[in-house]
Amino acid sequence: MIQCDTVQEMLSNYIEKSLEPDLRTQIQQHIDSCPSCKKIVANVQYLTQRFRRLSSLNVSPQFNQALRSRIMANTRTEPPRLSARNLSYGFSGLAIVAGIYFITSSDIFQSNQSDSESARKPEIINTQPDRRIPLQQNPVAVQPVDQSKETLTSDSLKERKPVASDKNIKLVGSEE
Amino acid sequence: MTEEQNRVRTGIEASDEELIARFQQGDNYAFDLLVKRYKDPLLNFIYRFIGEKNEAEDIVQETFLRLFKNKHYYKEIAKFSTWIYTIAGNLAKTELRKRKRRKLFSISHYLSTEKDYDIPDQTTSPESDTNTLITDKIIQKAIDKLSPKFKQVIILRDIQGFSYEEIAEIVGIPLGTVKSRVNRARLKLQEDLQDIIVDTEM
Repeated sequence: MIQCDTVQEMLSNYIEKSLEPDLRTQIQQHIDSCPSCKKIVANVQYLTQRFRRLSSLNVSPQFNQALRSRIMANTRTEPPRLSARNLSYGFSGLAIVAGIYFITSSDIFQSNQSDSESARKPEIINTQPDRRIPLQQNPVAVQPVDQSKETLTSDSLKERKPVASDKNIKLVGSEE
Repeated sequence: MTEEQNRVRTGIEASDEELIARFQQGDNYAFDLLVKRYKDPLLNFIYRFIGEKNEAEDIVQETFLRLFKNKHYYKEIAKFSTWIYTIAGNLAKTELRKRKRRKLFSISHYLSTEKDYDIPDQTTSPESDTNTLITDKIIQKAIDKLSPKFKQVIILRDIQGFSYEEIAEIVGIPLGTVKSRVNRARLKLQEDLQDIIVDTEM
């Protein structure tokens, strides 16, 4: 059952016919049976129509002239004011730019440091393959010598064998 | 020059948005056309808001001055009408705040009689017009009694005929708030204006 409060809340929607059909029917039923709500609805409907007929005003005949003078007066004084402002803007701009430069330059310094640190890491990494290459190349380069000195360096060959493993030789071979 | 070119040049059929675009590009004639279109509607809006014609006219002038100086602040995303009404509404609210302060500190306010509203001079059929003018005056007094937030939305909706969506944009509040404020203002006004409603029914 719809109460008077709900009707008053929905009043504008009801007058402007923007309610869902079901709700509208319920409100209509309440209005038909409630003299107080009926009066409020009629009053508001009357006033919204009456407001549209309120006498309208026109600007005075001097309006255009007065507006022109006002614009002239306000735009004339602007150039010197603007240039004075520009100066202060310029100074503050300079200060900001200097500030930004200081911050960014210190950033660069920091990032340079970190760059050099990170640059060292690859060096260390690079040294590992460098070490490996001679190991891998050695068997190839050393092998003929080893073959000629087989009897003399049999012990050392035995020692080398595990180092110059099949795996390493294959790798060199596959590279070639 | 063809008739169509002439219409485009004079801006008779140009939309507000076309005119402001032309004005932004340096065509001051487009500004004159905007002034011509909006001076009376804005005057009525502000007059209903603050209740005094001379001050209302002063605010309309200030609104156009702001438009002249800040034309580049207008962006096409908004309708020109809502933009210019926002400027005018804000100036009117500032004026009301100033008055409130003045009232608080001015002794002369308590001594002086309230100034009558400036109603346009319409001399045809004196009797009915006199009644109309009196009713208008009573309505204006009832509007004056509303707080600015209710006053602004009810003027825009019921006197100026803006949509709820446009009012939400002008005032800068959610659509639901606009609707509830309009509704409450209508209920308040029908309470305060019982006398004129009874008179018309009789």
